[in-house]
Amino acid sequence: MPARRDSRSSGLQFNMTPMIDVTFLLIIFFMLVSQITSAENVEMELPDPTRSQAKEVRLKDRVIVNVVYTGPQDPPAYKLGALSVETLEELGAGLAEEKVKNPDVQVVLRADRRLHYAAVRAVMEVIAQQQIPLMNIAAEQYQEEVPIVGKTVR
Amino acid sequence: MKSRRQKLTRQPDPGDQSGPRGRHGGRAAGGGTVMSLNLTPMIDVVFLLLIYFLFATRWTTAEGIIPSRLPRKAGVTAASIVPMSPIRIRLTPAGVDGEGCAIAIENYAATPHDFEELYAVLVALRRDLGLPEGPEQADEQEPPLIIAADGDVRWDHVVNAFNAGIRAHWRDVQFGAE
Repeated sequence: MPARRDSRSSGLQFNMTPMIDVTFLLIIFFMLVSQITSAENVEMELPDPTRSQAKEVRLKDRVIVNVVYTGPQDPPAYKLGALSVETLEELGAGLAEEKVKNPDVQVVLRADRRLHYAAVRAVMEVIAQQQIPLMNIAAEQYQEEVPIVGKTVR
Repeated sequence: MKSRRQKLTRQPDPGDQSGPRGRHGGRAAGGGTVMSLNLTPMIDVVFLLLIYFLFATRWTTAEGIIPSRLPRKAGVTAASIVPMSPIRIRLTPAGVDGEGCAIAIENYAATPHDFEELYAVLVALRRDLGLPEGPEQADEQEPPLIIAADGDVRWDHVVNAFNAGIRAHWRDVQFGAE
């Protein structure tokens, strides 16, 4: 029977490098996946109303319309889902396709708070023209301020 | 002590066969060993903490939706019920570069200075009209609340006015057309 070998004396070590490699790959994978899912939620400054009544609702049949602020004098950019659309006509055509695919589709309108109402109203009119009656306006949720509890200084 | 010893690996120092001490503070010549710290477990734990915080952190601000309903048919249609006279909230740009907003309620002597005041006015208005002040539904038809904003008012203010109406439990809040 061979004598039991001591790992320290023989110089055997557990190689951690593959595990670290796999860990890195997992991090990259999840970071990319999270970016893909948030592609239709364009980063923008959403309206932040006083004591916002906005609720986090997971809508099943919804399509997101993004109206992105590009500058004080520039026209806004539009995105239907994750796809960029150039004009309001294209946006209307895209919404019509969504309506054909799913007649119960709802629209979530995400518009930057810095935009003028005229720019957003034009988009709302396009949505109404496609006979989509339910439109949800995206806004920031109300965050309750946590009171600072401390000693009263007299 | 035992676990600490396990973390330190001993390696023979070939260049120190007969010298007085090892260069890195190792043992004397008799042992001929140098102690080195194994950093791999620490790196593993750091990675695990990094992954945990990556997933636990919310990178964006909390976002929600305020539901609204658009007209089903475009154009003029015959109304089945004679509508009650609507209450119109007029929003006009104000302040430097039109960043601010002036609020007025038409046919009602009220010019709220901000949206908190607008909310208070809308609650008082419901009380004056004999409509329920809570979330319960009114038995009779409610007058529509129309937000009539100028085209160059910021969208933030329009949503703020819409939000004030919803918060004051107005059931029929509409965006006015031009």
